Amino acid sequence: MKSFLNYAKNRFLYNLLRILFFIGLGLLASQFLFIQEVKAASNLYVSLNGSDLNTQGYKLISANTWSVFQVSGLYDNSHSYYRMSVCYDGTITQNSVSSTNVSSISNLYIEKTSIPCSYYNSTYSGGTWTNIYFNAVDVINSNNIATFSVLSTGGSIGLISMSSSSEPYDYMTGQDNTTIIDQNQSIIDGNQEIKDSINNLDTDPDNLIKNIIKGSWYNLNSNSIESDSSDSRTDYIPVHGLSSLTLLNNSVNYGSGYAFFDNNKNFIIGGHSDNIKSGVEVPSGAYYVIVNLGNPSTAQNSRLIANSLAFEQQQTNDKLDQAEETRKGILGKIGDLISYINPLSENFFVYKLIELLLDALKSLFIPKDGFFSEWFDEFMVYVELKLGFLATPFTLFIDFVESYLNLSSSNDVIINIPDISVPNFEDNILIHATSFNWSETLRSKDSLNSLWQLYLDFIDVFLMLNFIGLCERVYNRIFGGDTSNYEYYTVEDSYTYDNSTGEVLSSRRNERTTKKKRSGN
Amino acid sequence: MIIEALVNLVTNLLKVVFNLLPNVPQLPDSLLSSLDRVMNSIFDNLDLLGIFIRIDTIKILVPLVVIAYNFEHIYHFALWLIKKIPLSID
Repeated sequence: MKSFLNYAKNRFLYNLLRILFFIGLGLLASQFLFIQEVKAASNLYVSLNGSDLNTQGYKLISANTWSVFQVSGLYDNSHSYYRMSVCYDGTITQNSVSSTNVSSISNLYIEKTSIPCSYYNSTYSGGTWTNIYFNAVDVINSNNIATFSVLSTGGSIGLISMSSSSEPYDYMTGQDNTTIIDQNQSIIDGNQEIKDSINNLDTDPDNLIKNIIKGSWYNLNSNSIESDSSDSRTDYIPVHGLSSLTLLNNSVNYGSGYAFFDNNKNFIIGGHSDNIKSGVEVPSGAYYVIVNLGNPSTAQNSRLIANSLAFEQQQTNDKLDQAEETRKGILGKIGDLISYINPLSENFFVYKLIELLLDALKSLFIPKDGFFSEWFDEFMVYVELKLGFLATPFTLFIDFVESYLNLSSSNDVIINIPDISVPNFEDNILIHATSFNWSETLRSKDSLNSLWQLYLDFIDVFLMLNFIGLCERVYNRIFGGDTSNYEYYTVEDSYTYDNSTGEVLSSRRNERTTKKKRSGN
Repeated sequence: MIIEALVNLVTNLLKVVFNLLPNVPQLPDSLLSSLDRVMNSIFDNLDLLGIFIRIDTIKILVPLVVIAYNFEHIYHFALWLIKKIPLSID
């Protein structure tokens, strides 16, 4: 027994040291492998430095001035290159690209397509899509912001959006123009990016960084408002109960727009202000709208009106509905009272009483929904605070379980290799980032795919047979009939000693493991 | 309600004990960052398992294997619970 305990103790220490060794090795390796922190997800949005916009907020200032684009958010490391599509009627040329953060000019590539900018069934006249491709890994700084400057002719910007295709871009070969428009269209419809932009509206007019969506949002504070060029504050206008919004004249500039929000100021839908020339329907559940009329000097006389007739009608309807509800409520109460004392009714009070008792009994034993998850989250926060580094293994284990639960057979098997460079010499990349889609390769060849599926079938059968074997062994161990192999550890110490003096001349230790079937049972 | 009360009671008791002890410091940020980096490179690439074994098979088999390995303990725990029930059946 003692030797077994000694053996077990040594075995434990050995395993502990081995784990520590591997952790150390991992930490060491991580120091040598420079892994670019390009995080998952891609809720990117584009912003411009306010000083690069003209006073109307939708136009880059004149040529020979560097305009700074910033693409912020979280980058998806499965894309080597990103494409920022600008609906723009000026000129941005490839030769004029420069940035302190772009390590070489080849990392930024500008391509102008001849497709008119079109979104929400409106055409941005004069504008065409200009695509700016950039290498995310090279231009992103530590705050996950890609910054680069372009020289423009001061053209108008209709819309800026980020592509989020599942394909890594080959930025030098260009893309199919139709696809570009489709992708931008879907981004507008989708549209996490614009939601983010509008949700993050900057209400401080003195802030130099203006989001392109922010531009010059007007302060509109009633149901019938004239835009005020002297006031460029952002404000939410209540629209609850209104049926539509209409702009009375056509003084709407490119780059202007509107966005509806619910009661909690969450974005519902938005679009170009051109749409509200003919009246735009207030979506169901909308409580607020923000409207941008573009250039203050020309939009000064614009008049945005809510459909007041519809508003009054709506108010009348609301009152009628309320009266109807009250009437129904009184009759309903009388009906309910009768049904409570009618044994044939399902509302009979005895049934209700039994139902109430059952519910009470259930609530006595069954915790409310989400109780355990809330308790666990709260408890883990406390444990992490209290136990400090001792809680780290638990956190890692929980992360592992979450990753396991998130495994999905629909995910493609993609091997991502980050840029590998020598620490402190990050500019000199030994191996450039690349990714390899294993699933796609296997699927591309029928014969290869069949072979792979056959292999997976074989593994499935193998694992199932092993599982059945495990179940059998467990059954035998608990209920008898155990015929599994037992491991025996044998430790032998042998000594050579002098017969005359008894002095130990040499010793030898021998450990061996043997397997033997358990007999009987 | 009873289970919630029991869980809260145990949690509060644990907190009373833990509150007597000082807060254990966190690991240094640099170490945590390195550790996260290593772990993330493992966790983010768990999909690679899909090359060798079907993900669906893994998701089904792993919990079953964990249960099978610990079935003896589960069985004995269940027996222990049953013995606590005051039944007159011999």
